[in-house]
Parts: sequence; C-alpha cells; structure tokens
Amino acid sequence: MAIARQQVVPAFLVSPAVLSSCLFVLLPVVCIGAYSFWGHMVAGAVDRTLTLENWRELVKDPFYGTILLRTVRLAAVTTVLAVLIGYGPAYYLSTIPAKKRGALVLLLFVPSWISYIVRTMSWIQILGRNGLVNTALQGLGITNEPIKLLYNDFAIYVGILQYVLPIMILNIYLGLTSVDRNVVDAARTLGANGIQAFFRVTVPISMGGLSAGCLICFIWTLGSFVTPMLLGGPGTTYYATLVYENILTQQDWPFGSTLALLSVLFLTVSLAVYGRLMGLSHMFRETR
Amino acid sequence: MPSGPWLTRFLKGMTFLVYFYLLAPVLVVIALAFNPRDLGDFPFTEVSLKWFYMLANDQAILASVRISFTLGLVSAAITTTLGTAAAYALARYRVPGKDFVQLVLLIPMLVPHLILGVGLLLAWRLMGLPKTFALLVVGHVAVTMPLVIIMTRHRLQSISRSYEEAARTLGANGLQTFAAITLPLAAPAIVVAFLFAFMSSFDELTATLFWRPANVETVPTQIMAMLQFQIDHRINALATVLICFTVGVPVLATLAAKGLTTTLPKLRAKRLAARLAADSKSADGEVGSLGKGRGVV
Repeated sequence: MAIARQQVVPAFLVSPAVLSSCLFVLLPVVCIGAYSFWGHMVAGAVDRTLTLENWRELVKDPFYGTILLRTVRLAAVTTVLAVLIGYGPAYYLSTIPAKKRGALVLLLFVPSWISYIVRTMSWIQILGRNGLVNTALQGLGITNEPIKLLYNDFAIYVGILQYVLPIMILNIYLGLTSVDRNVVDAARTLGANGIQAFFRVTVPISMGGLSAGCLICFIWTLGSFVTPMLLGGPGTTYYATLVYENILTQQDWPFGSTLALLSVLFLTVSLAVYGRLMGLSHMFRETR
Repeated sequence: MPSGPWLTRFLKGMTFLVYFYLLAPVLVVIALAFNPRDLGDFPFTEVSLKWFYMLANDQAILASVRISFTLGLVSAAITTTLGTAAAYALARYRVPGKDFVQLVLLIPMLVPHLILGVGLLLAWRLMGLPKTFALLVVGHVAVTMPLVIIMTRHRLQSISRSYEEAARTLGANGLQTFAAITLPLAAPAIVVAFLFAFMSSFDELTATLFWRPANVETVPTQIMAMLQFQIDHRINALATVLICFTVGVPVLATLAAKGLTTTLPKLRAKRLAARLAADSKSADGEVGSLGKGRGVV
C-alpha cells in the first residue's frame, strides 16, 4: 500500500502537465507529419490519400532549398555576431564586484519584459525614411537623400541581434561564473601570458554557457518570422515566412506542413549533433 | 585574459554600447507617442497627449486589451496550478522515468513557436474543433508550462525537507503538510510564476497568429495589424502603455516577492520577539531569557 501510494501521488501530480505537453505539443508535431503526406485540394480542403507529392515538390523546386540555406545562413551569422558582440559584456560582468553586477544582470532581463513586437517596431521608427538616424544624418548635412536602412537584411540583423543578445550574454556570463576563477590566475602563475590564459583557460571554462547560448540563439533565429516580416524587404523571404504564407495566406496546409516538418527535422538533427558534441544535460541544470 | 587599464576601459565601453543598443530603441517609441503631428517623425517641437486620448476611444484596441487580459489570466491560472503540481512531484517524490518526464515537460521550450502554432492548429482542426477562444487558452497553457515548472521547482527544492518532516512527525497528513507548510513557503515563487506566465501569454505573438479565431485580436496581433495597415502615432502610444505595464509588473512582482520572503518574516519575527519579551516580564527570569533568545532567532 505504502509503495503503491508513493507511485500514485507523483504520477497524479505530474500527469496533467505531461498530458498538456504530449497533447498540445508532441501530438501536433505528429499531425504536421501526417498532413505532409496528404494531398492539397482547392480552397483549403485536404485530400486524405497518401501521397509524396508535397515532398517531391519540395525537392524538385530549388527555390525552397535556397530559402532554407539562406535562413540557416541568417541564423549562423546572427549566432556568430551575437558571440562576438556578447562575449565582451559577459566577461566584463563576471569581473566586476558583485554589488554592481546584480543591477547590470537585472538590466539584461528588462528587454525580455518589453513586448517583442514593440522592440521590433522601434527599429522602424529609428531606421525608416523619416526615422531618427536619417533625420540626424540629414540634419548634420552628412547626406542629402535618406539612406535605405529599413526593409532589407541589414534591418533584420539589427532587429534579431537585439532580440537574441541578452540570452547570449546571460549564458556566457553563467558559464564564466560557474567555475572557480582562480584557475586563470593559476595559469598566469604557471607562466601563461594573458592571451594564452584567455584562449586555453577562460574560453574552455565558458564553453558550456557559450554553446547553450549559441543553440538558443540559432533556434530562435531559425524560427523567427515576425522580424523578417516587419523589417525585411520584398526580396528577403525567409523560411518561417514561407511556412506562415502557405498555412495562413494560401491555406495549403499539406505543403505548409511539409515545409514545417522539414524545419523540425533540421532542428532535430542540429540538436542531436549539439547533444553529441556538448551534451544536453547542462541545459536543464542551467535553466532550472 | 590580457589585463591592463586600456582593456578594462574597452570592455566597459563595449558593455555600455551593447546595453544602449538593447535598451535605448524603445525610448524612441515612447518619445514619438507624445508627438502631436500626424506624419513626420523627427524632430518635433510640440508635446501632447492626443494619441493617448485617441487610444482610449479606439474600440478595436480596447477589445484587444480585454482579450489579452482574459486570455492571460485564464491561461496563467491553469498553468500555475498544473505546473506547481508537477514541480512539487518532481521536487519531492521519486517520479518513475524522471529524466524522460523532465524532457517531455521541457520540450515546449525547445520547439519554435512557429511549429507550435502550425502543429496545434492542424491537430485542432483534425479533431474537427472550430477555432475558438479555447484553442488560444490551450495553446498558451502549453507554451507557458515549462517556465512555471522551472520557477516553482527551483523554489520547492530550496525549501528544507525538515519543516515538512516536522509537521508529519506532529501528526499532519500529506495534504495538511502541503497546505500548512509547503504552500506558504513556496507562495512567493508561485505568485511570481503566475505573473511571468501571464506576461509571456500577454506577449506571445508568433503562435497566436495561427490560433486566434477570425476577428479576435490580442494586443500583439493588433499592433502587428496596425503596423501593416495604418501608420500613425496611436501605435506608439499603445506601445508606450504596454512598456509601462510590462516593465512595471515584473518590477512590482520582484518587490512583492522580496517583501514576502524577507520583510514579512522579519516583521513577524519582530512582533514575536516583542510578545515574548512582554511575556518574559511576567514570567520567571529563566524562562524569560529563553523566550527572548527564541524571539531573536
């Protein structure tokens, strides 16, 4: 009786949350899989006979592959830029006294409290034709014509980097502070110069946090479509926009599902590679 | 790291620039909300509250605010209840297949919202259900669940088991112990988790675009629609209200949680100490000093 009770109570407590995850997240992904093998008929109707037509179209038309590659490039470049820009501040945070540090770390959370769409739209006001930057440049007499800063890849990078940088900085910072900093001094005492100590001690120490930050940054960028939609121009279609248009605008659910499933597969492979290289266990420890 | 004052200065400057890049842009939105002119953005000389008045009389916007509030409160209430239960089980019991359960619970955080949006929409329609408010609630519950579990579990794990064991030793059953000991101790984290679940529901945009029924707009989808169809400073006014609200709530929540965890117990301890001191005056000297000692603790 006692043993049975020990099993029943936790199962009862945990099952609603597990069910929510299974029914509303995992099962839907399976549904995406099912739809991708069904045929499309006019006006959003679905022909429930098995077909490989969607996948054939996806492979045959190089357009989709190009968009996927361009999106992966966007995510990869964003991740690299976020590491390059974010490492300095994260390192600085780990060196200053704890008192000052608390406030600065808290400030990193402030952007996440401000609505994503508000943060994105602020760039329209800043980079637009009559925006802050162009008005300032013309006012100072640097240019006569407004420069095109908005509705292109540049604006997308500016918007997405602002979105991912806080989480990147936070992860690198956590990585840097998770290990005893005396080992860096030890390396210096043993004769390593500053650069050697940095690349052979500090960087490996921060690797756990750095790689977790990269993974999150990569996934977020890959799945973002509001930023490209609002800040990107006519020639800058990205993968997520493609999914959105197929599902909601054209109501072609089978093909939209095929596109969505391909990105799920791509993410799963990326996660598996990441897990192989870095291990996934520290993700849970860090976010807990 | 190579050291030296120039490097520290460089890092300091870089940190300042990055923080400026992260935080300053929204100030532009706030400034523009007070620009009375219809078009032209910068520079502006007059300041007015015109757009805020228009905002308060815009039925579409008011409707979206109502929808977002209802959705946020309902889904946060459900998520907090179910999430806390799961967190309690994970923190206190030996859950069969714990690693697997944890992974399943964490998965909504790893799946992009785009996929969550598409998937749940298709599953919902496959079951023959119409797009209703219920779809939004179910979706937002699924999306915010991992956050609540992580936040409450962290707190539950930090509560020493000895308090619960003491209650059990004194004859309380499991439910009584939970209600009298564990729940009050975990209350601050549960309140904060509720607020964060509410905020992330309030802010969710990507998946909501797929789930919202026809003619139902939440605040973010309303802003999205306004950005695509009409540009005037009403949108900046709405964004300004939103910024004040979304920054204000976590700040107040943090202060409240701090009050609940440090200030309140301190006050209670003080009151207890005062009472014990008063008791000790009327009691024997030896017992009094013991009582005082306990009061300070």
